[in-house]
Amino acid sequence: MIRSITIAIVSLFLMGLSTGCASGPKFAEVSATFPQLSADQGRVYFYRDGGIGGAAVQPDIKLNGKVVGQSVPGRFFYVDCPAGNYEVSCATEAEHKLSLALAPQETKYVRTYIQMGLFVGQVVPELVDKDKAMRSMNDCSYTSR
Amino acid sequence: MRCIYGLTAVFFLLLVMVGCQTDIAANSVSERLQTGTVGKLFRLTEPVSLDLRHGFSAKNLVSNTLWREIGTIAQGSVLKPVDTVLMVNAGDNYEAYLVVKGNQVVGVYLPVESAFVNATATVNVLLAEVTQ
Repeated sequence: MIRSITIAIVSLFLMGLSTGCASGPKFAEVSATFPQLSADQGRVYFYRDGGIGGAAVQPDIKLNGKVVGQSVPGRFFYVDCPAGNYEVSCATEAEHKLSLALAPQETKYVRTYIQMGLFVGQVVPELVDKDKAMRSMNDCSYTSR
Repeated sequence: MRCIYGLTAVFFLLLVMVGCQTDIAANSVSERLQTGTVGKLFRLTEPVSLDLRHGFSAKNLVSNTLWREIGTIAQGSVLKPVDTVLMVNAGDNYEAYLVVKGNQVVGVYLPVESAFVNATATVNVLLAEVTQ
């Protein structure tokens, strides 16, 4: 009994370590390589803080119904798109949405986080300001889409 | 038999969760933003606590943040956050702008939904114009 609990704890720890130390370049290393926005475009960054809570729950992130990436702990990516109205959605056992208006040359930051569900964690997208996003994204690894 | 009770309870909980979602269209007023008065920049000099109607919630507005007037709706001037974000939760999350009339916050404007959500009580707001 004690042995299996110990194995479970160690596995959980290793899983957390692997997600917390997600491999790949950090924001500071790659941001200079990101292209300039064209006049009519805006940029949306998506990120999820690292951590072991619900690490295995990694649903698709959709932008206006189209899959643009996945919500993965310790990872970030961005999407350049024409200015306009957008709906971000993430679905596990329940779907959670965020609506946002993107202006030309504007950059927005969307954090996805996990909250408790009935059977499996639910991933919620929320709009955050640049300062808060950068504090987290500096520790995240870049995932190209 | 126990299994049936369990499933019924889960089904009931799911129904409750679905029922808790606020219908934005039914709980807001459709408004078209008039963008004739673009430009003025304001600094919020004191924090503001927003009380929205039942089913809606928003985080408190932090002082020393910048807001740009981007237009008007029937209820007042619409201020878009410049260095912060305003988001309303009503089951799902919605980007929102502040709506002020005179020196009072009267509600929020949801740009994607083109909808106004009123505050349950108007709140005094101190906005200092920033010269650009």
